[in-house]
Amino acid sequence: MQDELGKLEAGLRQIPPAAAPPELMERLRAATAGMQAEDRPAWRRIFRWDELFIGWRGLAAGAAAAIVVLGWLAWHPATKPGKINLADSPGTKVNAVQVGHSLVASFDTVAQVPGGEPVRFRCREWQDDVVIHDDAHGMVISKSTPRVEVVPVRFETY
Amino acid sequence: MQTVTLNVVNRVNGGRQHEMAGSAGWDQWLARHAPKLLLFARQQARCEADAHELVQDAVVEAWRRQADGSPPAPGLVFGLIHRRAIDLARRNDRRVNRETAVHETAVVWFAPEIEDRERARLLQDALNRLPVAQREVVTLKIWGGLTFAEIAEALDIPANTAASRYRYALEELRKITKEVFV
Repeated sequence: MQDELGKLEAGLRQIPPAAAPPELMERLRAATAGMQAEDRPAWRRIFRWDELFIGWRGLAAGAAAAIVVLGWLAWHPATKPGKINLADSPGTKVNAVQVGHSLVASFDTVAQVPGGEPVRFRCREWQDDVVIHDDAHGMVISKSTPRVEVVPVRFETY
Repeated sequence: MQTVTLNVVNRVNGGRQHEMAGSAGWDQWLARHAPKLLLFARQQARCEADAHELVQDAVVEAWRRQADGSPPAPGLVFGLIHRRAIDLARRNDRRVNRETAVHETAVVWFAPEIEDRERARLLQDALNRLPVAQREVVTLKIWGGLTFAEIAEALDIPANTAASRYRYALEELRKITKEVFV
């Protein structure tokens, strides 16, 4: 049986799809001509995101950012009063960092897009918790942040 | 406290290396993928004009989504064709389209060598007899060259469902075309 199906697959692959008509190919070329890389404005070619983070532009941008940060730190060496700075407490030593996500609520809702197509939204409310333990000083720092996640889910039509 | 591990799932257009950008790259991409995109669109549309519209809209939309201007992964374009065909079918649901009958009889889906033309005609008939859900999976797998994961993404179905539909489709095709292909 598997052998027969394998032969069938091979036979099907030997029959290629018909070529697209020339008029369709022309339409496709014309429609996409404006989006080709060469036709992009100069500023978009210079600041392409993939190259910004990979390559010499990324290195240059990183170096510039580092200079700005160091400069800012040089002008603002003191931490503002009232702010907790763990680095200023020489005895502070973090023993463990615990990160957790608690599901608070989960529900679905349905809406219609302007075209009339119904779309289901899966909504989840999360509580993100970060707990830092310093056993030497018996200190526990915890922070909780609520987060809402909405995921559109298209209705199946068949 | 419940700890959740988030798994990153590959996007349709995230698992492949970008093909060459530039006008030569676009032309190569179109020459390579347009026939199979059109085959899929023809199966989804009521008439040839609609199939052309589906291909053009999906290709343009997919390329717009590429931040770096490189041609998109075919899976993304197949998925857009599928979704736009559903929208189009809803809009045309009550419209009687005279072109439909012409489309079914006149448009040839496959273009093999002369000696295989009869097999191609039988194959088109056999595919037309399959349920739509099976036909689109077998088309994307055999002629679209997609994996089951990519088919699942394109059609918004689980990968296991795509695999089982493919198996059923092959079984049906085997029964219909037994003397021709096996």
